[in-house]
Amino acid sequence: MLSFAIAGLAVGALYAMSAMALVITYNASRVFNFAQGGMAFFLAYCFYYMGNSDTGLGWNLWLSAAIVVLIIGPLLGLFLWWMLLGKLGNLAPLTKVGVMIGLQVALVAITTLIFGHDPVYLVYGPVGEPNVIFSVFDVNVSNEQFIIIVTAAIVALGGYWVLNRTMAGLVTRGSVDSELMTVLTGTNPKFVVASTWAIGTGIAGLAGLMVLPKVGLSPGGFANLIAASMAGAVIGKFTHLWRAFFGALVLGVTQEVLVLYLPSDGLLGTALRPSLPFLFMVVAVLVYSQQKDVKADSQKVEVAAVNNAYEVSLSKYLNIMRNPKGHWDRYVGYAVLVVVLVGIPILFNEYWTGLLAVGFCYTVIFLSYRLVTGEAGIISLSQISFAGIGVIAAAYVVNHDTWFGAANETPVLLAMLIGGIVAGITGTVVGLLCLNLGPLYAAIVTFAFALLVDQAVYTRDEFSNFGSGLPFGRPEIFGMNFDTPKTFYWFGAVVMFIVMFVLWSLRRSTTGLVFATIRASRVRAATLGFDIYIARVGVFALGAAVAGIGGTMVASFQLVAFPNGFVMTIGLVWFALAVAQGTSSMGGLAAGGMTLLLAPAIFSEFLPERLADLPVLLFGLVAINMVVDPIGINPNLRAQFRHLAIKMSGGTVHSPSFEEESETKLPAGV
Amino acid sequence: MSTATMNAVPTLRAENVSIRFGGVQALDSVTLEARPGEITALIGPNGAGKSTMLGCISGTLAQNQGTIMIGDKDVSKSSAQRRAALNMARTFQSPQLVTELTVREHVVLARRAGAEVKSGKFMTSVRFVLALIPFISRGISKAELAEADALIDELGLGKDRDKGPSDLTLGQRRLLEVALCLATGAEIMLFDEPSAGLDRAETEHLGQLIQKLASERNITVVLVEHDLELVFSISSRVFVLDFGKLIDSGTPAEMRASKAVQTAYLGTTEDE
Repeated sequence: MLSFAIAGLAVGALYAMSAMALVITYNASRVFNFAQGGMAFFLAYCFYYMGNSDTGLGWNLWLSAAIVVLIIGPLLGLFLWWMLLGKLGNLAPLTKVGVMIGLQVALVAITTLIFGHDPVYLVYGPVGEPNVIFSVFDVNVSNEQFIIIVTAAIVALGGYWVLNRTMAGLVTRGSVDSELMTVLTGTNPKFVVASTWAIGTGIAGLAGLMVLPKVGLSPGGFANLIAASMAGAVIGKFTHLWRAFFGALVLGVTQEVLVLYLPSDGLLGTALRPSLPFLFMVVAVLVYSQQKDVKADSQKVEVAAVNNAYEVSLSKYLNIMRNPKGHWDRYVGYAVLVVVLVGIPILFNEYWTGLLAVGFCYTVIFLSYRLVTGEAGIISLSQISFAGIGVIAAAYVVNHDTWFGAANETPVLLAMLIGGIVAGITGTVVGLLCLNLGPLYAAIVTFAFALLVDQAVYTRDEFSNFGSGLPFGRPEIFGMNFDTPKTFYWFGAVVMFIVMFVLWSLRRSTTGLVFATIRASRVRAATLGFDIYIARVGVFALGAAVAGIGGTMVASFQLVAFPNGFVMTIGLVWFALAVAQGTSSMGGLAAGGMTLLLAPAIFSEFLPERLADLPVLLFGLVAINMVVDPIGINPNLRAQFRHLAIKMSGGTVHSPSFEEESETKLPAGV
Repeated sequence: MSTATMNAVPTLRAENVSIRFGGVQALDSVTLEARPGEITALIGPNGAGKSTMLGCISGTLAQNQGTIMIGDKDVSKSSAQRRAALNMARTFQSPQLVTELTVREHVVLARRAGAEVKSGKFMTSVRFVLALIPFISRGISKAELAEADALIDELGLGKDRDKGPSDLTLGQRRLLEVALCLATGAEIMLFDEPSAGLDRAETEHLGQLIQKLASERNITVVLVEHDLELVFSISSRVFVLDFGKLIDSGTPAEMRASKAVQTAYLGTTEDE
């Protein structure tokens, strides 16, 4: 028991340091660092490069660690603050999360472009080779465990001392509540925020270095650390440093001690421990959702900035689109669409046509972002998991004897619908758990859920078929079985347009108007009598179902249900691409779905393999571009076309005016 | 005040309502009664707690103590949604409008909201499902547009009906808030400074409209307003708040003459 507790203490200490970094940066900047994993990954690779004598510089490990934690980490934090993070403070929650996810994606891609994309599993931390250094009640304690626990204690006590006993701490705590008060003390609040990003990045790097021997050097390896530290941050309501620290510490200890009491295999044995971060978060969210102050605060903080860049951008776009002239441009668009759709299977070979057919399938998944984020304003990082769950459910039904038919006899089309329904039911459960509080809580809980599905569901052999995936077929409709890329192209296109038509109908219905109201003002929606929570859960479930159906279409084209194609790290790339294109724009989401397939294919055709991650870097960068273009690329392009059409029709466009209002929007008690 | 109105059953009653924000006692045991067919005004200097009181009545703020009754129903712990379903609508001092919707779409939405919240959760769910079925889902019909246009014209927003909120002046946005309230067809309406940003003629027109609404449709109106001329010209009863406390109440004539009211607005001299 004691040995597990000590091991747990070491793991928990890592989680706690990482959670501390999240809370410090959130407190100062009101930006939740979804890119912390990417930062830690980049810094860990820097350390590996400096310390490795075979492929790197071969420097002393302690020296390398000191350079990374004390110099490169803080400089990275300062650089990112100067370039990007310092500009996020007053932006809408979706923009902040989109940009941070974009940064995460870009950092991982940059790291692999610089250092190579082969995962390294055997890596030493700053301590080097672990040795037993002493025993406590007959339990051996390694130098690695000792150093981690001592470092976490120093970071915690040092943090406590700085925040509570020094002028710098006083100013930092003051700047959280009032920038104006910070100015009155003669301190530049920007300096305070920049400093916290430097310190936070350094601590994140420290935790990343120390977790290296446990997870190795792979982007996914850091996910556990980040999920656990996010659980700590949720427990600390993002702002309470010590609750976050000890919450994450307890989580780590629980994870290790549970090994004693769990069977070595079976669902409980394999799924419970990876599920703990998610379970801790859910419990915290359920408890906090009963507390009025948290509810009001989360909404006040996250919904307050309304007259922000997003609203300004949206108003400019709507102003152009509402102009009475130039509406003929849509017919030009429809004509181009028809020509391209018909032309592709004629002009391109089976490979490229097939690629576009899968692009339609991914577009269906991407259209789920229109429902979840574009309509309901929910920041969901688990759409990929719903797609994966749809795939698993559909493949299971096809390959096993079930109520719907014997193995290999259930029609694929029916299985695809079942996949969508199962994903929808899962979405209902997740929605009920995470939509009680503000958008940031939803983003984090869905992130943890995606990780949970990766570790506890996809790894099960009955779903993954020992890593090779379950066989899946093509649907059969009226005797057509879509067995060639060209025929599947038409199947994919028709399903995509049906989903688009449904979403178009939804937006112009009362429900669509209701969601527009909920996005703009929850307090207005509440006083008009709309049940915000239930409406959001409903559309979240529907989004999950659409993602599930899209996933089954991908599996159908590939003839194999391969759940590892739907993991969280890929999901972050999807999210970055979707928000960059514009989650309200069906054209943008279609462009996102197509780009996801076409960009890597085109790059691999013309660029060396070493640059394989370049498209991912570009996806991350376009998401970061939301800082200046919050409504997304596609709506802006659309507005430019309409502007041209208005001019060609002899019309003029005037800019909307934005009046400063003294009152703060206060969506309280809803 | 007519005897008939005096004897009317109270539709809205807030009793001993108190709310505290941290160290600030924003409302301290305030009691207010608003009757059908009447305009009940709530006045007081800045920071008196008027908008907070509307928040407690409408359910957007939860009072620490006190009860809110709509007819014989105790809604003290009910959500804003539940109160809306009991025929309550309100405007906001800081307009809560939807950037993506035009003036017309706002009014259509409010009309549908008024009809549907009364139909209950089941019908709302049915609507949600129907909305997913193309051709069955309801786009905005010509008839709805015509009805919305009539209300928009009545409020003087006719030439701006296809504009979004960001293209309207602050005064126009407040008028649109009033239009939303009226479009729901609610029986209890709470107006939070509807005349702010309007010129004299627009304010008078708005006053007449609210008065007509209260008397012709037997609506219960609670009006929070800084424009005392408007308040005294259209209200039946006036409640005066200062520093979260009810300092006086009565008819407009009584409140015009009230020493307490004059002191609250103008302050006291040392002699006094």
